[in-house]
Amino acid sequence: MTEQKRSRVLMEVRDLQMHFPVNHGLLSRKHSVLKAVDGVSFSLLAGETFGLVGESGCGKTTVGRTLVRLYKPTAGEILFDGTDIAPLAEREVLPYRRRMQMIFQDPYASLNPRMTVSSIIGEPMRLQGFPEAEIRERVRELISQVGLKSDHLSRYPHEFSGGQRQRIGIARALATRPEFIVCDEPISALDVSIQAQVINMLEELQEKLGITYLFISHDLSMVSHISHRVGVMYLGHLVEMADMRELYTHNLHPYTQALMSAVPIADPDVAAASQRIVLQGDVPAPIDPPPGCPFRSRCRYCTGACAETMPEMREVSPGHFLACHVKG
Amino acid sequence: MARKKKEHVVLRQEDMLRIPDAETYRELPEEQFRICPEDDEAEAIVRPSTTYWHDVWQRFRRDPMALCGLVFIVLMTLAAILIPRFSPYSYDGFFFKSRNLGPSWEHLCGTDQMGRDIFIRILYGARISLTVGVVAAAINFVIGVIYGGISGYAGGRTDMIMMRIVDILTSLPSLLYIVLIMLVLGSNVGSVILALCFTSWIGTARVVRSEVMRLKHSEYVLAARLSGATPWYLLVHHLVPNAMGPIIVSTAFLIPSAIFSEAFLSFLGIGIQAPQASWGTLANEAIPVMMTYPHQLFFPVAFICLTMFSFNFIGDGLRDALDPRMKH
Ligand SMILES: Nc1ncnc2c1ncn2[C@@H]1O[C@H](COP(=O)(O)OP(=O)(O)OP(=O)(O)O)[C@@H](O)[C@H]1O
Ligand code: SF4
Ligand SMILES: [Mg+2]
Repeated sequence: MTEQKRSRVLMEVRDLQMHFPVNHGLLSRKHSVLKAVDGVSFSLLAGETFGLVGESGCGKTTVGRTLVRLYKPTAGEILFDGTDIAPLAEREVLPYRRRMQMIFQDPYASLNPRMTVSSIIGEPMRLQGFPEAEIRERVRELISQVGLKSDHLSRYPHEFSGGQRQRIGIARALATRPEFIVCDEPISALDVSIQAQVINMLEELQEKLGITYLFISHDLSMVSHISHRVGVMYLGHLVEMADMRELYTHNLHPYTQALMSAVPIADPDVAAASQRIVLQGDVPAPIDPPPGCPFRSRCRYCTGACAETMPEMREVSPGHFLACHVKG
Repeated sequence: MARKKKEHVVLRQEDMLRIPDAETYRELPEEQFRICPEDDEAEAIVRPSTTYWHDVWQRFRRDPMALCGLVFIVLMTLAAILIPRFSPYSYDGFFFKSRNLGPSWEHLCGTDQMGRDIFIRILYGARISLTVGVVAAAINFVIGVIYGGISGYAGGRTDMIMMRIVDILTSLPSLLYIVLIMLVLGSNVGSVILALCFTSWIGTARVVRSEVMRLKHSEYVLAARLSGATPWYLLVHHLVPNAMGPIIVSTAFLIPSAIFSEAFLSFLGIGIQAPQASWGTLANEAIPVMMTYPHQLFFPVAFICLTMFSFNFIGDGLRDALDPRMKH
C-alpha cells in the first residue's frame, strides 16, 4: 500500500468512553465505575494498520470490542465511514456488522469445540443471511486462502494446532469481506515459529484486500513490526500517538520511553548507549481515579501540574500527538 | 482437549537478527541431512478425527457397571414392549384356578390372589415406570434448559428474580402439592408425571444456568455476537450444545428418581390405581399376604431395585464419560 492510498479516513473515534459498573456485593448501595476506556480519540485510515500498545489491563481489548460494537460505549462517537455507530441500538448496528470483524487472542477459546470448521467459518455469513450455496463456495475459497485444505472443513477444532486454529479464526473474520478487522493479540498465544507465519499472512491479506487493522498487543516490538501508526495506551487513556518510525526515533512520553527501553536493541553500540528504564510504583486500578495525569504515580518527570489537570492530547509535530505537561 | 497455552511468547528483534556462530554451520553428514518440512507438515494434524460423542461412547464402554445397567434397561424395555403382545396372560381379570401359585415355568414369577400372572403384571408396570421416567425427564429437560438458559444469559435483575421464584418453589413441601394435584386431576399416569415435574426441573435449570453463565463470555460467543447473533441463536447453537454434558448427567439421574417416586405414590395408594399394574400397586397388594406368599412381594421389589441400580449406574457412567474432570 502506498502512502497515497492510505488517506481516506475509515473510522474516526472521538472521546470514546467505556465505563463498567463495579459490584460491591448484593446489599451494598455503593456504586463505583471502572473506567476501562476514558476519553480516547484517534482515526483509522483505510488500508492501514494502527497498533495499540500498553500494559495488561490498560483497556486495549475494551477499545477494540467497543469499536466493533460488542459493547455500547458510555460516551463518545465512533464514526464508521461517516456514520456514528456509537449510539445505535443492536438492531440498527446489524447492517454494519458484516463490514467489521475481529480476530481473537486465544485460538483455543475462540472456536466452538462442537462445531465443524466449515460451520465455524460459514457462521458470520449464515447470521448475515447469505444464501447457503454462496456460503459453501466462499468457505472453500477461504480455507485455501488461509493455507488449509478443504478436507479440513469437516473436522473439529481440537484436531488442529494453535497456528491452524488461528488461521481458521482469520478465515471466519474474512468471510463477509469486512473492511475493518480488530486483531486482539492474535499471535501472543502462538509459538514463535508460527507467529511470523500468521503476521505475514495478515500483511498479505491487507496488501490484497485493503483491509484496515486495529492491531492490539502488549509488546511494542511486535506492533512496530506490522503497524503504520501506533497509539500508546495507559490506564484507559491514549498518551502518545505517531507514525511508527517517528515513535521509534522521537518518542516523547515518559511511558512510551519506558516501553521502548524494554525493547531489545539489535545494534550493540546503540544498546550499550541506551539504558533500561525500569518503571517504579504500581499500576493503579482505573476505579474512581483521582484527577491529573494517570501516569503520575510512576513518572519521574512529575511536577505539580501533573497532579491537578489531565494533560490534553496535542500535536507536537505533524501527525505526532502527545499528552504530557512536561515533555514535548 | 489440548492444554491451553498460557505463556506469552514474543517475537523479539534480538532473535531475528542474531548472527549464527560457526558451530551452527558445522557440516552435516549425509545421513543426518534432511530437507526441512513444509509449513503444512510441520503443523500436521496429530489427532485422529473423532467427534465428541464418539469419545464419550468410548469412555462409557469401559465402565462395566454402567454397561450392565444399560443392558438391563434395554432388555427390560424390549420385554415390556414385546412380551405382553404375545403372552396368553392378561394383566387384568380373575382366574380362580391359578390363584397364589409359586414361580414355575408356566408362571415365571408366580401368580397373585386373583390368579393373574405376576411376570406379565410386572412388565405392564415396567411400561408405566419407563413412561413416567422418560416423559418426566424429557419435560424436565425442556423446561430446565429454557428457564436456566434465559436466567443465565440475561443475568442481572432478571436472573435474580427468576432464581428467587425457583427458591420459593423448592421450599414448598413436595408431598403437599403432589397429593393436591393427584386429588384434583385424578389418579392416572398423566397427573403423576405432572405432579413429579412440578419442581424437579429446578435442578436441571440450575445446572444450565451456571453453565450458561460460565460460557457466555467465551470468545466464540463473542465472535457470533459480532456477526449479529441473537440471544436465542447463541443459546441454541453455542451455549446449550457446550453445556450438554452436565445437562445430560442431571437429566439421567432424574429418571430413576421419577420412577421411584411413582412407585412410592402408587404404593401409598395416591398414584396409579388398581387394577392397573404399577410396581407400587403390585407391592402394595402383596403386603397383606407377605408372610404366606413372599414371592408376590419379592419380584416387584426386585425389579424396582434392579431398575434403580441400573439407571444410577448409567448416570454415573455418563458423568464420568461426559466430563472426565468431574470424576471423584
Ligand atoms: N466486561 C467487563 N466488565 C467489567 N470490567 C471489565 C470488562 N472488560 C474489561 N474490564 C476491565 O477493564 C480494564 C481493561 O481491560 P481490558 O481487557 O480492556 O485490558 P487489556 O488492555 O486488553 O489487557 P490485556 O492485555 O490483559 O488483555 C480491566 O481492569 C478489566 O478488568
Ligand atoms: S503529565 Fe506529568 S506525570 Fe504525566 S507523563 Fe507527563 S510528566 Fe509524567
Ligand atoms: Mg486484552
